[in-house]
Amino acid sequence: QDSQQANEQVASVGTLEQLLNTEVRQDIDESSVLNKSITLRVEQTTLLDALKSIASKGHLKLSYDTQLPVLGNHLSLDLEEISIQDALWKVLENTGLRFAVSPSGQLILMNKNEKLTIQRVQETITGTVTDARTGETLPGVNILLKGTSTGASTDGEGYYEVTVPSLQDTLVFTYIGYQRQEVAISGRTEIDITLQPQAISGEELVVVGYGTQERQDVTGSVSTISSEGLESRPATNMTSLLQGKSPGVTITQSSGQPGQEDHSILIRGVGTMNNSSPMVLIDGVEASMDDVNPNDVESVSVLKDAASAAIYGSRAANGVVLITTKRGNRESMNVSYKTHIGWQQATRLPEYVSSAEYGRLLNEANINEGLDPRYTQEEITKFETGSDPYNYPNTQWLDLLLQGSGFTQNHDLSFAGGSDVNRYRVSLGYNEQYGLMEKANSDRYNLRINFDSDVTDWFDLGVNASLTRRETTNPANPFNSGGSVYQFFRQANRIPPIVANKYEDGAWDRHDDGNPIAWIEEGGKYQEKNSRVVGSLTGEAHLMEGLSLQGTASANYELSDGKDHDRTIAYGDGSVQGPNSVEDQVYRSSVTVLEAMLEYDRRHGDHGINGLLGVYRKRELGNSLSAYRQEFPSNDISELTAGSQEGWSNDGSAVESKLGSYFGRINYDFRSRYLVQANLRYDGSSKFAREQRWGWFPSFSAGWRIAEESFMDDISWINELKLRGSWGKLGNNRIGNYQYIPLISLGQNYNFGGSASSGAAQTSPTNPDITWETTTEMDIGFDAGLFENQLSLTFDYYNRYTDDILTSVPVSDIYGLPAPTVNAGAMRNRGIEFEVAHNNNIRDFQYDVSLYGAYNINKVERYENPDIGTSIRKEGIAWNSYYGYEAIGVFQNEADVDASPHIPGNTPAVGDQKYQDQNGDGVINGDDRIVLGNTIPEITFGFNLGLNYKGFDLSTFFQGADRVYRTIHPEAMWPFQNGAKVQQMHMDRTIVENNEVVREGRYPRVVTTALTGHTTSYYQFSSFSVLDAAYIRLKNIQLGYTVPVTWSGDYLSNVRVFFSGENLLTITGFPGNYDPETPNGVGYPQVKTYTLGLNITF
Amino acid sequence: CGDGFLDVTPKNSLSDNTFWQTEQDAELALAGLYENWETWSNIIYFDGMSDNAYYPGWSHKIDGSASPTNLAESYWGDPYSGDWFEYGRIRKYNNFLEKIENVSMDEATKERYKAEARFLRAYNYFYKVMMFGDMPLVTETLGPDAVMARTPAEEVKSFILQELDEISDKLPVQNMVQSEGHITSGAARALKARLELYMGNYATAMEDAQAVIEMGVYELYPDYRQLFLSESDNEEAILSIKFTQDIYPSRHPQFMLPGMGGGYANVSGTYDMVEAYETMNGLPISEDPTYDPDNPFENRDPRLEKSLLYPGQEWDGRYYNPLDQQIPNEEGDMVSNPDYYENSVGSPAGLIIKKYVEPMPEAVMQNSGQDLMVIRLPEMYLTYAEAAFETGQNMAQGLEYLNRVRKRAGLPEATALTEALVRRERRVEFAFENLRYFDIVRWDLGEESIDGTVYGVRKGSVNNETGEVTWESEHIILEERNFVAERNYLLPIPQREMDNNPEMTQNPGY
Repeated sequence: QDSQQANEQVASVGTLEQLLNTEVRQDIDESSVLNKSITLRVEQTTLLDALKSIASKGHLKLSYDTQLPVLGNHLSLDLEEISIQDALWKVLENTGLRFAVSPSGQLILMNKNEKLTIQRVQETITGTVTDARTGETLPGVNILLKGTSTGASTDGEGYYEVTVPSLQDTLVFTYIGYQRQEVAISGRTEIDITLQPQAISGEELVVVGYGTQERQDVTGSVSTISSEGLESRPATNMTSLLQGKSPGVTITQSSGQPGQEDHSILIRGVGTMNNSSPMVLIDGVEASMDDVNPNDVESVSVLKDAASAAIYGSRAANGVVLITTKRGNRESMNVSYKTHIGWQQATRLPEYVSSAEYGRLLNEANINEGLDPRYTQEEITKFETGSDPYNYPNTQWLDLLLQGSGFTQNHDLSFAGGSDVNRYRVSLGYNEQYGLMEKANSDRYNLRINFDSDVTDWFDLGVNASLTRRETTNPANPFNSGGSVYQFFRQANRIPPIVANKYEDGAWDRHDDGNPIAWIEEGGKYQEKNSRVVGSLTGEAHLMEGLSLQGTASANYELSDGKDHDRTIAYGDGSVQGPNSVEDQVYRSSVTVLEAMLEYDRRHGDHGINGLLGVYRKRELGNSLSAYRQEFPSNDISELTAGSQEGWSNDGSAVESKLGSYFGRINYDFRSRYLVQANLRYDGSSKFAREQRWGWFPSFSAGWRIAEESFMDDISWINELKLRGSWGKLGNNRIGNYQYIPLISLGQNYNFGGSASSGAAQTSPTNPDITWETTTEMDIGFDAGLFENQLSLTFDYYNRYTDDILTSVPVSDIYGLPAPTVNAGAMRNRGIEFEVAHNNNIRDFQYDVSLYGAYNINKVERYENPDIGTSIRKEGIAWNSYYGYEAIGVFQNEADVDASPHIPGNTPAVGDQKYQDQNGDGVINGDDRIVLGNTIPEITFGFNLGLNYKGFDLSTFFQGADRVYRTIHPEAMWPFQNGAKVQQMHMDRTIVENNEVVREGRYPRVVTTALTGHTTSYYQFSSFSVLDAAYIRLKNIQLGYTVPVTWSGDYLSNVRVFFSGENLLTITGFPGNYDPETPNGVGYPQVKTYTLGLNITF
Repeated sequence: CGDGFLDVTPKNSLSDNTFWQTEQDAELALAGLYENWETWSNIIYFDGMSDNAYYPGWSHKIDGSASPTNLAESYWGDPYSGDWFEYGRIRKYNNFLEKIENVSMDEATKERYKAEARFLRAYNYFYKVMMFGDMPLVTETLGPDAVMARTPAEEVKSFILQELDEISDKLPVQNMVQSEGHITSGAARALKARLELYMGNYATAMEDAQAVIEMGVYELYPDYRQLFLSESDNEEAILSIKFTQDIYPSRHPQFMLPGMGGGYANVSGTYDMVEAYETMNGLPISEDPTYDPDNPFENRDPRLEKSLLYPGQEWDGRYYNPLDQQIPNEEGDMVSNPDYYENSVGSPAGLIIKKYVEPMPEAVMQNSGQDLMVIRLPEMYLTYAEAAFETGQNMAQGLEYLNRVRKRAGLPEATALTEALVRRERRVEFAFENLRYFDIVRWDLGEESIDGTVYGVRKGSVNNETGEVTWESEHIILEERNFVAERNYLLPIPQREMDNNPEMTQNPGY
């Protein structure tokens, strides 16, 4: 009888409050909503859709148990001018369900027959819910008594009040975008809670090719990085920010030079013998990752497997990086200012010996070769004491070179907001970087405007515009053009300390090629101004429910303007480097794309269907223009017109390529439990002859959300478990243009009778048969969320086979042209990737840890004619593995020399490197070479740790690689090579006396190359030069503090200060103090950065 | 599927389908043939493979350490440097000969163009067969899959001789000034004479040399020094590479000039070369009692001073000094000396090859307009003289020709042809002109001339005020050379070709 009464009470009033209290609380008046008059017409609609329809008319949020079987029942109704309350009862007739409405507007469905225990509530608990990061109070947070449907929600001030039957119960706090939190009441009546923003949640939207998907519905292998994951780390460019954020994505930076960091991005290893970098799209427009301001980025998706990438067809064979920028919302204007300043230093620098040490070793080298010592003891003493610093100097060239401040600063200002109709976000960014050497700096300006408008209720418009301006200045030198500073570093790393920088009278001294310090101080400069405009316009028409037509036009224009100004430099020895000259270079490129798409997205009961049909056209144009003059009347004049007409020159060229595509996709799911997807793309490229032009690229994928199955209901610690599998085929056409057309190159000139005669000849090979290379990839993986999603796991296995690789296969010289590009090779990349993440909080202390690892094996499967040099491209071996002799120590004595096999024609000496005769034929020759190590890391891994306590946050990020080998430049590897200097590591050498090894060091005996440029035994490429480049590096550490709202006042909603350090610590066995990530040996070094930053939101 | 949208046309190049139609196309293609037909470094560095010179970059080709993998030497700015194996130029010549047939143009011009192409092809095969012995004789354009066995050297040589014979009538009788750089009848006959001589066909060699001499368009240039420099476009040249400043320049001066002033001093003379020059009395130093080993550069064949820059010689307002580590600067302070033989831009032998260079600003060192002699009239004189000596025929005419060369040099006339005289005159007159190595090969002097230690000048000190040199007894040691007889003077077939052409075989001893 009690139960019946309760039901009737609910039925008559229908508020949640009355479920909890037998006393009717008249002061909460929801009747105004329930009495609202509506019209409802439904025709063979599911019960759920009918309820949703009613809820939306009453502005109520529908809450229900998805397991309720009756929700799929179909019904037809025609109700005019009926109250919501009556409509609900009508709809729920004969369903066994009833409803309740909470004060916050939740419409809750529950089982009518469930015995409702009505009891007097003993206790009331109150408290405030705040955001753990910002300290802001959170309105509308749901609070439920665990195991029941009863609860409450916070008010506008984040305050809540909930009545519970017992103080031994547990409360569950949930709020969209935040981590769910369970709190045992443990006898308290006042509980304040902070909620942690959620990184991974069931409702997370993932950006995928041409659209978004809920994370739970994704069936391919997609890694995402949200803005929270990016914002915390100050970086000057987008690429370095993505480093180590996703398993299987390998990013290396080969230089720390401002504006010329030379990133390489590889997804799942080197997939082809051609350009292996992934396709990058910013808001759907193909662009360069360097042209987006990191602060504008909302999210990044990395599409790793073929099925996810297949919608992009031909260009996606090496994966796709989708960058989505932030957009405005319907709120009032939100202003944010972010800044950081920092200083850079080289991570690791080679240690060079003093001039006295250099002289002694040179003497030893000469003696080793039967020559007289180069320096007398007296001279060595002069080097040692510095008594004659101009003739017997000890010049540390690298120290002289590294005089730049390395200062960087970054400012970003953004405005975002909107109304019901229009949304906007405008951002301005400025970045300035000074290099490790003087006069090398880079500035970048960004402007981005994103605008969205719901023009009518059936038509939306979106405009994106991005302007990027980069200005780079570098000192110029006589040997490099285009702003390369390579020769500055090479010379500073090469010129021995026995060469003075300046003479006593202040004039410059020089080495063979000049003096890099003189080049900086008196030489010219290279300036490059690069402007890029990327714009796109998208219109979307909603034709009918679920069906929309979208058209996009986009253009990407680049103008790059370079000026190389070399000055004449006079040296103290009377020599002059020059003449002064100016070269102006202009490069223009444009990419225009037209795209149209028809999309259908609708749910029919248990069946979710999404389909897509599209057409795509792209045209790429590149134009270059350059002009050169020399012998200007003054070093200070840098405009072409002033130069001499003698020796002037100019040049220009253009290329064009086109791509056309048709594509389609179908997604289907049954009850969001069984998911399938199919893609098909048909691509045509101008790089192939008509007959070979088009390629079909299909893909399929499927997912099974096991956790949704009823048999999993009892396993409460598994929140999400999804099995995924995919298969797909992709194309690649990234080779030069016009390779199918026999070309006659102009400019093959000769000189008849003292004047230029234009000449022409075929200089490049032709292959009319070339066509698409295809990549077929299979991927199997699972995603799991355990223990209330506090532990998440992702695992993938993939097998990627690239066939018909466009590459040149070595040909016999008698052909007479370079090897043509043919569809000749095949390679396989197989690997696994995993990611484990855990987050939790212990009272006010929150932490999150994640670990990822990837293991990739690369193998060439077909390459008809092996390409063998110091690296090998041959079937069965990882692409471009090092290849050479196996070094097995040094010859110990004459007898050892005589007894050991030699390289024909070479007579080694005691203390020279000895090589293994692999085939035992008594000679060391090409047949004795072996594979010495792979250049693509087989293992990459990363580790993130984040801590939060009240306003403080600390994050650290380690990253590393294993099973990878590198070599360094010969001038860095060997002492005295090509007139170069000596490092500390070279001192650990073998010492020979009286034809006997008296000390065996890491290096063989020292010799100079000046007199024995071909000491064959010494410089053979062998295992000695192939260096283990495994490392672990503290890529980033950051400590931040968010000022509590109570301090920051009414106008500032968020203030955060932080310190960040990049590349601060590296653990590696790599020799010579070179950076293992990109050991160049003689170029611009890798840098570490210390940064201080401030973020303010108004 | 709307294919037309995807059609593009190349914007920077002509397409083979539209080329090869007019006489202008043929002219373009002809200039394309001449581009890099021969390079300065092949001419100048070549003596580094002999007892005349020392060039560390090419040492491995001669010191016994040549191997299939270390052979290639690509030199920046000089694409075919040291690579006589490659067939890129052969393809260009063959392609020209095939395609020009369909061009409608003046028939006589077409015949001359074809003859020029055939000469260039024969010239290229001449080096191939001399350097590698048997080589695939490719006379048509091949596809990328082509592989081919080696053609016996004798067959390749007959082909060259036959070609040169056939085209010499089709080419104009002109010197290089008149032909403005185009191949002439004289060039064809002269190259033929050279190969006949190398093959020991002395009678034919003599005949061909005489034919060239009798053409009457060639004349000895009076000044042996300027002959190679500002006056290098002269009537002595039978075959030369035509360079023009800014347009088609040679970069050789920077690589040859002394370090002081911006050169790299890459290639040096040897002391053996110094000793090969006669004294002013027309005698070898070993036979002239007036020769003073402590004043080795005095009273010598004037060509020595014109060909080599040695310690104490005046140069660019100073005395060349490769012997002292330090020299005084203008203020009189002692500063380090870039020319010092142990410095990287010093001549390691203390002997700069001066023949092709004179002081010049660093700015124009890689922009030289000097032509480079490939074949010049004295070679015909000395070919005739050698053939006369070897056959015993026309000895008087041979001696007269040889004395024309000696007279121009400023030496007393010789009175009789001897083997030593013929060979010495040839070595000295053509020092650093790429003839010495092939002479060593055909005279089989490997054991004698190649094997052993290579020396530079004696150590010592140069008085920077007077140029006077104080010599020590010891010579600078340059390197140790090891002559491997079983190799038959042939270079190894490059490993890349061994890997890519299954029909290819390796030369003995590699």
